[in-house]
Amino acid sequence: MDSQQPAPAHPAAQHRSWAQRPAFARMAAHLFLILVGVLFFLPFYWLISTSLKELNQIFTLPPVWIPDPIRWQNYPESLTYFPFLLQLSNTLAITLSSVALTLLSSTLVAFSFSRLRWPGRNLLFFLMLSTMMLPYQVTMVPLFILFRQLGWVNTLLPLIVPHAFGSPFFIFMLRQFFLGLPRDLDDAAIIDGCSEWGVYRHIILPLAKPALATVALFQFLGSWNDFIGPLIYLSDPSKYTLSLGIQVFVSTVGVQWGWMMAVTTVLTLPVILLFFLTQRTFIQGIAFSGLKA
Amino acid sequence: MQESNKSYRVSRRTFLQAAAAGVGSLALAACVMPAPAGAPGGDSTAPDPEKLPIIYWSMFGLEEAKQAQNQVDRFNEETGKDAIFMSIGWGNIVEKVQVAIEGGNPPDMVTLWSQPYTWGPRGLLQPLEGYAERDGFDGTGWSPAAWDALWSDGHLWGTGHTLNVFALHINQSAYEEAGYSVDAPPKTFADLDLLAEALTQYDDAGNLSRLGFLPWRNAPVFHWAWANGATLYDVDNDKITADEDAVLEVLQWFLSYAEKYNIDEVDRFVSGFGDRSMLTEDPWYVNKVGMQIDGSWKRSWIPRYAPDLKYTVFKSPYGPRGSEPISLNEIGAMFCVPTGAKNTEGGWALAHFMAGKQQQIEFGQQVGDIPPLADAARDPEFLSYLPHNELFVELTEGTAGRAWPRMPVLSTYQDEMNRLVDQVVHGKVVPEQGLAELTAKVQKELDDFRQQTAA
Amino acid sequence: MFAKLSQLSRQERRRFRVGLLFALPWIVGFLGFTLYPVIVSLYYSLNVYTTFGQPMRWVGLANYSELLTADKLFWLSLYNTLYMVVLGIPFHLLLTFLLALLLNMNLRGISVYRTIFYLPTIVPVVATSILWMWVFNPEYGLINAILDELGIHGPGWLTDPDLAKPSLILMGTWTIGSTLVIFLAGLQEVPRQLYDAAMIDGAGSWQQVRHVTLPMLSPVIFFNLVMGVIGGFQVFTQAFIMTKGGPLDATLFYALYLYQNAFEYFKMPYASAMAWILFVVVIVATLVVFRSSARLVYYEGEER
Repeated sequence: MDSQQPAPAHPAAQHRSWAQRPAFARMAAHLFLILVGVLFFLPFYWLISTSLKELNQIFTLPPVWIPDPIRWQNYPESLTYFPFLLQLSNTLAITLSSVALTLLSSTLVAFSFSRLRWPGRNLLFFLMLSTMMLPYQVTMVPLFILFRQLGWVNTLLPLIVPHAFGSPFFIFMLRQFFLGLPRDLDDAAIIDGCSEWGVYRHIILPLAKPALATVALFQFLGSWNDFIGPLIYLSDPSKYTLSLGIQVFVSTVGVQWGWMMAVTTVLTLPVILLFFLTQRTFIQGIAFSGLKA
Repeated sequence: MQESNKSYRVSRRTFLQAAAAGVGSLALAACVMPAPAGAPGGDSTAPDPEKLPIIYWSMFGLEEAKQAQNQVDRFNEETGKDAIFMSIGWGNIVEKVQVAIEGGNPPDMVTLWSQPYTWGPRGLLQPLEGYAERDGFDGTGWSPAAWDALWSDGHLWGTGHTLNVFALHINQSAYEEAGYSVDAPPKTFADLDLLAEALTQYDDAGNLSRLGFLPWRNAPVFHWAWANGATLYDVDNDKITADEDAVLEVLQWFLSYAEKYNIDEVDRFVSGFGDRSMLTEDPWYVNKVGMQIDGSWKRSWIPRYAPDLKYTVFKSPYGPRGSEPISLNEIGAMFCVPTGAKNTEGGWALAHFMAGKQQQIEFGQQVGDIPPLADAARDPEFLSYLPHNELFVELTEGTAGRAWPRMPVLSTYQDEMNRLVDQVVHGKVVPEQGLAELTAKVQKELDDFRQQTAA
Repeated sequence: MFAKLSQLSRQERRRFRVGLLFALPWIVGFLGFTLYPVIVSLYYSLNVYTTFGQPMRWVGLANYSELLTADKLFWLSLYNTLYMVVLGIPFHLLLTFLLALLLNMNLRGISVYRTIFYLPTIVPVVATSILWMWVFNPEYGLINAILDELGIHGPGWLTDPDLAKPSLILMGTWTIGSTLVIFLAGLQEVPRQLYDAAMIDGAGSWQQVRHVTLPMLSPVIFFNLVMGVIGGFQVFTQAFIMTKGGPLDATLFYALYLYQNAFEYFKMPYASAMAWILFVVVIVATLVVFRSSARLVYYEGEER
């Protein structure tokens, strides 16, 4: 530890830990946090309020903070301008199948990398970790050409199928989690005649529910929010995901900010709702992935 | 989540070291592995064209899309074929079509602008002269410039039904307020400068409230360079001639505007509205810009987006080395058949149909662009349909209309020119040096391409 | 490792087979979606692509030499990217650290703050980009509208070449939430006794931060720094949607220029060469970060 350096000799009584500061310091901290919090929240407010404004209230100074009248029509008007429902169903198809595939494949591999002992395991594990540092651009062009040869360009497949092969980040996270489960469980099960598959299926998976929930959430977000994948692989609007479809919509209507904010709200709302429904899993998952790494 | 077991835990440091080492060895492994065999080739199949649908991707949106859909319906009715219209939107069509072609899954017919001159020689489009000859599509009655514009490198890359013609669009109220008369349009760059000054206004705080004119707004530098007598591309010697004095003077002219009106202020002012004139909220509509070069399609949008705007259109003025008004004439929608299309025959049939006289007039009326068939352009019904059609038609006749230089690095040439204008008006590059570098760069790319494809 | 396989006992060979079987999804994926493309990418980078559908032409290192010696945009995009990495990431980390310290003061309502700070990070990047285009709008956007009320004539955030990158860094602060959550969790793991001990030694608040909090949190900060650097080189979507690389190429980032070469300019081999240079730059940058922080990072349980 670095703190062996002699601390300057101050009278100890003047110093208190952060947690024991006088009320006024807490007050100041609150004020500062509230200020920053408002700044963080303002863009959301700006998003929603613009999405409900008429154009003449959008292009005006001083800004109109509360839309009057509230113009709900921005939503139906903008969402019928492009194949919204079709693109929503594409997005859901990609998102849900990616979640399912990633859960299955990543847990299998993580199980192998954590609960099974076999020669070469650590080597492969470190190889996998190293691929996490590989910039995606290195594989971008060859993968495009590979999928072209498979006839998969302008289909949803390039955005789904790779998830059947595990994601290094999730495998890593799950492995760390699996390692934290008591080893005796496996041994007992093996003695009872359980196979490795049985241990995986009946012991590890049920115990790993919180970790699985985290993986599912992150993958859901990853697929829902993905832009560059759809941008590269999908070319006609009936195949677009919402992210891509909305970007195309926005680049076409330009400065119809009411419409643009309406579709942006629609793209954002599901993940916000998901967050509030699963807040605990989210925060723990982030902290876990960042700390236990 | 539970505390992980310490003894199994990989520290972050070990992780990063391992990762770095692993990446290094991965790179090494890739270096020593033998290279795999050649690149993928395009494979085309030839199934029965009569049974296949004809997939048509277009740039048109909104009202234009409805018209395009009508024409496709009529095509289907007349021929009994099954063409399917899809609107990709003008903002994305170029990237999307390109990726679809390169991805091996293209539509059978697409609309493009000047991209075919770059794409055709690179093999992304199918040459159509064989089909054209077979079906008697031979340019009879076409304005010569428009017909030429369908060809490059000896191949026919598509058909077309309208020309985008560029001219000076003026907010008439502002113009007359400033004491000018519509009977005395500006003729030269010098006239424009005076008019620009008269139309520019500032608010009480000294901030720009109306921008009179910005020459590079919406108009490619090619347009102004031609107006000043430049050649830009020497076809006979296959040489880029962007370093001519005529081009240099145009850039210096641009620079004078950037200095006069303070480019930072102009940027901020214009971008508040969105910088693209294709958008429905053009500052010109709302009297924030006094005049600008714009395409013939603009008139068809005004009743929709700015019904109260009082405007007029003049031929674009010319520079000291020029002698007459000129206008960039661009095939507004070139109908092309991509390489790898599953129904080439159908794609051609639809492209051929679209170039028919009725389609030209209909679409010209709808979008305000000018039919390339002289007959259709001079059709009384067309001429009277939108204000100023006569003026636009004149700009396609004689020597006024200029097509893009047709050569396989046109995209680069355009991109580099736009980039250079941007740099010059922001004072980052001196025009002489910028043009010299641009000429060398584009010429090199042209020479490289010729050399690589010569083999 | 495989050479020794025959020497393994039967039991070990079975374990090997089972282990491999469970790891098979990743192994297949690694071979097909990582190793193969990596190798092919290197091969592509030594060719040029002339006509669609025709085989590429071998040109050796020509793409690399053109990139490194002739292509001004390549260097500009590298500069723009380094600007974001060198200025943006430390700024965000510092800000995050300060916020985490404040949040760690055992305040009431910490979970409310945490939620507000975290929420922007899950917003799709497309939505963030579109929203911030509007926030930055020079006439009617959130920022300039507020400035206008204060009587200030705000600048063109995304249209001024000198401001565009700082504006994107500013926008990036909106999404520091997940790092914040990680820092906060890290802070809460710092044992109470360390602070108590420091206090008994007479350490003030600043000294506690300096001598207890920072060292204890340094591995987490370092990890986020490295990941930030790696991610910083791959920034694409914001620039693609908001500025298309402009104004004056001020936001032409490396990943954007690479994408343009690959998917807009027909230069997939050139783009592959760029990708390999990126790869090397990322490794070098990571090693630099590594070297320079080796002394500063404290790992629990390690002897110094």
